[in-house]
Amino acid sequence: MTELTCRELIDFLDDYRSGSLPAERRASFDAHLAGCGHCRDYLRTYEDAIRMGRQALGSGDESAPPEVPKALVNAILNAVRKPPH
Amino acid sequence: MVAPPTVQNDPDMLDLPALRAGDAAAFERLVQRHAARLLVITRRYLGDEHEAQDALQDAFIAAFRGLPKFEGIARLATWLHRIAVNAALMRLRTRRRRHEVAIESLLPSFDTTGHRIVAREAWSEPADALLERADTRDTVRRLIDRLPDDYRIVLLLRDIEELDTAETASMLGISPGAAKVRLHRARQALRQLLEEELSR
Repeated sequence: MTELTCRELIDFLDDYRSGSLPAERRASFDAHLAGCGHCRDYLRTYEDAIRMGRQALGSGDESAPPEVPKALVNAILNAVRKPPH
Repeated sequence: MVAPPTVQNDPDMLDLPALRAGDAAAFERLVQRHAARLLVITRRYLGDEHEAQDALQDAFIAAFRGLPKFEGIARLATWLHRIAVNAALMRLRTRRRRHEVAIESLLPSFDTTGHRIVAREAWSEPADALLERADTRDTVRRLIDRLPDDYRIVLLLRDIEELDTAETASMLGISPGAAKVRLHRARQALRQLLEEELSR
């Protein structure tokens, strides 16, 4: 089994995470992670970043307007009432 | 499995026959029900309030034209959401690029032997604990907004809208391989920006 570098591990991190690597390749990723604290930290914080992005934007608590401006609603309704050219 | 929309589980379904027939009152109810939620979506992509409102208008016009062909297999809210995302993407394609930080500066660097050059310690606090802080979500949103558009949009489509790689690639007119690379770089860049912010 060839030894993996940090660069190779990080370049193919999403393939590793998604389980799409062949078994032998996956084993070399596991072996590298077991011996490299920096890459373990990188994997952990990479996954944290994904989770934090999802929580920050996907939870529906972005600053919603208290209401949509009435002028905008009227503009939308007027636009669809126009006959097509 | 998601239950198909019915009059009982989806308030829009009651209006669907009228909407398909182009009924103005039913369409106004649709706009009133969904506009605020969709404006949040177009804002997320465009940032600028004026552009977000224009994209919302584009989206409702497209929806009005598409309603006669809406089959009712998906929820109307889901269909509108997709239309709003598309409208925002169309606006993004035509606008001038913002002053953007180069993605390369946000990617990890390596020495000649392939070992990562570690400039600072990674954060150790669990993400859940960080997210409990009132300001963390605002910080994460601000950092996502700093990503170059090409990368930010892929991150939104894949990690927030949860589209798959093929759908994302199709919406952006790029290859699935390019979508995968952009997503990985966007996640790396967000990780980097978070590290800089959290280690202050």
